[in-house]
Amino acid sequence: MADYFIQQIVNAVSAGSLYALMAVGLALIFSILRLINFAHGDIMMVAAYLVTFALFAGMPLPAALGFMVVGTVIIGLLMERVAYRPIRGAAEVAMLLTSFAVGQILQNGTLLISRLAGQPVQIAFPAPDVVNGVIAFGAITVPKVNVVSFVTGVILLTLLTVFVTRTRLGLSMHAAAEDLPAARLMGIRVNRVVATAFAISSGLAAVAGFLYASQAGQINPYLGFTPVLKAFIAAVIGGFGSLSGAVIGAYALGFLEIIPTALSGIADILPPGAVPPGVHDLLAQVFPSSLASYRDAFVFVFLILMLLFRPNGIVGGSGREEAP
Amino acid sequence: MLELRDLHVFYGNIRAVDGASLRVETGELVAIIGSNGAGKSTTLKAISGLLRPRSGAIVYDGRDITDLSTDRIVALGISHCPEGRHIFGRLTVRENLVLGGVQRPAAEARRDIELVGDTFPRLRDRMKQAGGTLSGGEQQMLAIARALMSKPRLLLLDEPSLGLAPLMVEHIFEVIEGLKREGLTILLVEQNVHHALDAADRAYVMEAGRITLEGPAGSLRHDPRIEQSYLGL
Repeated sequence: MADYFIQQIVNAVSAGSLYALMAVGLALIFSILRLINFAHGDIMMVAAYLVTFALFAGMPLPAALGFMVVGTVIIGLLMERVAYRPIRGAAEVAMLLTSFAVGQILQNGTLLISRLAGQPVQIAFPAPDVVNGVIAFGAITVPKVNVVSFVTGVILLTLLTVFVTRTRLGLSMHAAAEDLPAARLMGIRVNRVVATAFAISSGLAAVAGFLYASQAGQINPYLGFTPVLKAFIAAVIGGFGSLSGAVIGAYALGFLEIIPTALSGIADILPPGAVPPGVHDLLAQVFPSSLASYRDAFVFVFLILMLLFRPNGIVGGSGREEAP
Repeated sequence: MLELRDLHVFYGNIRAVDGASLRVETGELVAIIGSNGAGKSTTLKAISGLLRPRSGAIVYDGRDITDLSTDRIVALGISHCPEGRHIFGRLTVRENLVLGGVQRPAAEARRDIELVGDTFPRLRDRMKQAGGTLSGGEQQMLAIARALMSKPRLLLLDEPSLGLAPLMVEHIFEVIEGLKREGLTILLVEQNVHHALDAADRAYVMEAGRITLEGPAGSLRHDPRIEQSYLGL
């Protein structure tokens, strides 16, 4: 019983870390450019392909991960330079549509290359041992990838916080997000700040891509869609454009998602005799085991309520915490 | 030090500056006065590179800077303290100052931040406070202090007294005159004509995007056209 809930909490925290790595990247770009970069999920997908390619080619894991991060950052920077810089300051709809186009190009480009390489659309992900299998903590077994996701998430988000609040480049990023003309008057090189934001967001997406692919066990060119949508929801729940909001929203989303699963079939896992038979039957009726399949519907209902009653998100409003 | 030659600046299709020419000599405090929408702020934005002029030239130290980006212009020693102060409200006073000196070596800029309190005692105790929580006058001081962090040779000051209480206006002008005494060259845009002409060496009057009158501040002060239109005499 307790095991069951601990298991669910571990799942929530692990999913939350993954969403946080994605959502922070979305929020970072949005805070400076007002661009919702829907190609962000496809950047993550490209990273999963890069690391697969590197592992297939026989690179040791650290080298393959390095190759993945560097390659993804380069593609992210190219995307900014070629697609987004020319339309900087354009209407938000134009930027949004451009990001969809960039996503399509990345998906079809990946599909084309993997076809040319003689690979099927769906490739089994060669998950290395560090993220493969389970770890046992007493009676509880936790998939390794969940532990790695959580630890990686905490480390990278801490580093990002230090960067944004303690370095001049990080402060410049904040300044550009808060007041772009004023940031330019300081002598801040806006192109450099924007490029840095894209580099960071792509690097985080790369790590998320690796972890996501390890969890899913297989990759295809369309795998970025669900994560970017989830990251977007996380960012909206937290308060769009705020880094701390994105992180809070991501973990909130992780927990939201397990609620239907945790409640489904709660009647069956209760020890016999813990509740009167009447209560047991009621629980079984209100929380049927099929409830788990309504997970996404549940999340979207929450999102709609959030947009209706607290459109600025959890951290919405003013205060330093909102910093970009 | 600075010369504008027949400058034309547009906001979309709206002509904001319509052939303005002016010059600022080293060590001078030059004021541009005129009513709202006369093109004064636009002129400053063109100098600092926030806006691209459609035609005309901006020459600084004998060099054409018309098409340079703002960060290059800052690097050449021009600092623009914008109208409305534009403090980074969620950052602390210290962080605002750090950003003002973002192009300079970090250690050197840090040393200068320690000296800010000498000129602006009211900022000294508020270093860790968020910029947005300061009073209007304190924000204006922070805006000036921040603009000085890049160690400019030419300071562009846009409406430093706007919206401030009379006592604070006096104080801000004392600061400006102090900066001038230290040898800083200043181009001041100001609606408070009275104070501007008191502080300035020379002044230009701008109307509908054109310079309509210019001369030493002392003689403009007694010009009947100025007295009638701007000083309300």
